[in-house]
Order: sequence, then structure tokens, then C-alpha cells
Amino acid sequence: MKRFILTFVALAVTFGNPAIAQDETPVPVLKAPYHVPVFKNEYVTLLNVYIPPGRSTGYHIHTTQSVSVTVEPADLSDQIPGQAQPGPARHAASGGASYSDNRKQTRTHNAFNVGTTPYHLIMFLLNSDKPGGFTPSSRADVPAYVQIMDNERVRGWRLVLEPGQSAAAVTPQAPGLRVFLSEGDLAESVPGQPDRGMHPKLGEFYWQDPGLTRALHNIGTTRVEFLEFELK
Amino acid sequence: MKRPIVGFGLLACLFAPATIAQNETPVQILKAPYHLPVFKNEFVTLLNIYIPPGRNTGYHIHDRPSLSVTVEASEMVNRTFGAPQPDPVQPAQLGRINYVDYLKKIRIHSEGNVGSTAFHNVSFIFNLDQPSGFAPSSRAEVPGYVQVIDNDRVRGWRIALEPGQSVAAITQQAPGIRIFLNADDLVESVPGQPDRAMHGKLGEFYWQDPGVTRGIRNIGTTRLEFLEFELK
Repeated sequence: MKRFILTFVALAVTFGNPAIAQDETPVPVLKAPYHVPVFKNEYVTLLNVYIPPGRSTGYHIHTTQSVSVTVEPADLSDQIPGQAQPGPARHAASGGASYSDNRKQTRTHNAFNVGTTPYHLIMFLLNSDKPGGFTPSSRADVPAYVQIMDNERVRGWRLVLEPGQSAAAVTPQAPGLRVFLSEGDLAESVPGQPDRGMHPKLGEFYWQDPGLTRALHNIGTTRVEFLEFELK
Repeated sequence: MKRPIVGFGLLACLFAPATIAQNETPVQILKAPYHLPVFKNEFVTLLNIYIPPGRNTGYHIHDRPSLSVTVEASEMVNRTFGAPQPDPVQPAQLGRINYVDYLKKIRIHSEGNVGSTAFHNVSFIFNLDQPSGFAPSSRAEVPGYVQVIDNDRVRGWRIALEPGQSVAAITQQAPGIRIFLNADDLVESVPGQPDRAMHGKLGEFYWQDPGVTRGIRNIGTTRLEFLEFELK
């Protein structure tokens, strides 16, 4: 039954949706449908990518290094120029993080949401071709942080805190981002400052300057999960 | 029944939760509980303020010009630093815009959410003491844009589009921000480019550089409403 639904939605996406013509001229990812730049600074341009069910992005071009985090899962299908039909559906899982370097080999594609749920992705493009010379922290001594990525441009960790659990203090050594994969209540403890409550939500993101030592405590009633990245 | 609930919330807010003590030493707003800086650029620092029911921000200091937009309303209790008692309960209003130049008079207060829903506010703090010299656009000839604020630092408009409705093109003349007051699908039309669809959600915000000419159409099934601001 699922295959039938996916096929039906794929057909609807491919041949329907006249409000958004399937333009054949690829555009840069910064101008692609459903890819909305939220902010830009010296290091990154952050894109909030949200593709409702049945919609497609049109052809767009990736030309830089980037990190992507899936915050709402969906079934997707990709089409590349010259391909008669979109490829087979694949499932983008929540919490998946990936790094791409499209400087030498650009990527042009058209992504179709062929599932029944919205596809939500937080992506940051690295604005410079070269690393900024930062040395990210090592969090090896704080087991709550599970390293999920380490390459020439970025290091990243996943943190999962059940209600009442804490993560010992870390001090980010490089600028970066935090992306939330769930909603919950946290308190951040910074030495010399009062505890700071916060209520993050799924898909929220925050730029983080380096140098701040902070521990975290889940003060809510639900599991809190997020990813943190430090740039190199 | 509403009064007992609010009364209970008020008590809960004033005396709990212990994990986030009502700190008596005010902190800068950028470090206040439930006030999270998302990004910063030359002109503004954007804060995502989300106070769950029963929570309190603790005393914090406003000392710069800022503009805030209420995107989710609740019942709030303000307490001015040094005041013997909190102010009476105030219902926050969805879509309310509040600009204050705290350079002229700083404000130190705490806010408790005594309602049963979350209070959500998107604010931007001006990083410069003086205007930057931008001349925002006039959108007087485009009736879809209703001007809602105009002072020495910022001009803003409200746009409400029913399903199928469009608003004619404007050319943004100064950098600024768009803040969504609900969720739906829209298409932006930029001359010389293919139409670009996007899905705005309640409380989402996007930094917008000047110089882009764009028309907007609601391609969704519900009323679409958002605010746009251009800086001076």
C-alpha cells in the first residue's frame, strides 16, 4: 500500500502543481523554491529548507561545501538534468546529518517530496572555500556528546538528554551552530552566571560564538536531542 | 474558571520552578532565560523569545533600541526591578509590535507567563546607536502592504493574503526582516527569475537584503499573514 501511495504522490508531484512551474533552468540553491536563507555571516549562510508533501524544489545547483541536518523526515525522490523521470523514492531520516563538498563537482538536482509528511532540513553553506583556521573543541571527555562528523571544515556532535539528565560542561573553541531535533526544556549553566532556562523546538537553530563554557540539564518531561557543530 | 487558572499560574510562576531561580541580579537581555540569540549581523541581533506556561525570565536589562513582535500570545505578568509587587496580569496580543529605544531609558524587569499557552516573541535589537542612513521603501502605492510602524530606526508593514490573493511587486530599499504570523504556502515572483515557492511558518523570520523586487501570491489554502521591516 505504501508503494502505491508513494507512486501516486510521485505522479502528482511530477505532473501536477501548476502553481510552481517546473522550471528547466537550474537556479543557485540560494534562490531555489523552498530553500529560504535565514541569515548570513562571515562564515555561513543558513538555509531553512521546508518542502511540503507533493511539492518539488525545481532544478537547483549546489556549488559550495555545506552541512545538512534532516529535522523532519520524509520520502524524497531526486531528478537530475537529462533524467526522464525522478529516481526511486528514498527515506530521509530525522536527525541525519551530512556534509557535502560541491566545489569541484557541482550538483544539480530537483527534489520531490513524494511522501505524506513535510520534509524539513536545516542546511548551512560554508561561505569561504578554505577553513577559517579554527580548532574545534574535543568533547571526548564528555560522553554525552557523541561525535558524528569530523572533516576538513566542521566537527559535529549529537547530544541526547532524557528528562533529568545532564551533560557536563564543554567549551566550544570555534564558532558554530546548534540545531534542535526535538522540543523540550533545558537549563544552561555557565560558570559565574545564573542558570538559564530555554525551550527549544524542533528545527530551531542558533549561531554560537566560541569561548562560552556551558553545561546542560534537561529540566523538562521529554527527551531533548540536538546537534552541535563547530567550524574549522 | 479562568481566574483560578491564572491565579495558580501566577503563584507557580512567582515561586517555581526551583531549577530556574528568580535571580535577583539582573542579567543582560542576551543572557536572559528564554531569550535566545539566533543570529547577529552588522545591524541587528535577533532574539527568539519563548516562555512556556509557568516559566519566568528572571530580571533582565534592556538597554538598546529594539523591536519585538508577539507571534504567540499568553497572559503575562511584568515585574519591574525594585517594585514591591508585580503588575496586574496582561494579555499579550498576537501580532503586537513594540518598538522602544532603551538607550533613552533602560528597563529592568522580569516576565512571567501565567497563562496556559506559550508566549512567543521575535525581537531584534539594534546593534548601532544611530540610524545607518538607509531610506526604506514607500509601499503606499501597493495596497496589500499596510504600514504599521515608522520611526527614526525602522519602517514596517503588515501583509495579509487570503488564498489566491496576490500583492503587487515592491522593491525593498533597506535591509530588514520578515516575520511570519501564521503558516502557509506562498510564491515570490522576482522579475527575470522563475517563481519561487516557500512555506512560511508561525514565528519564522528571514533576514532580507535590499534591492530585490518581488511580488507575492498566496498559493495555500489559508490566510497568510506576515510583517516586513526595513531598517533606517
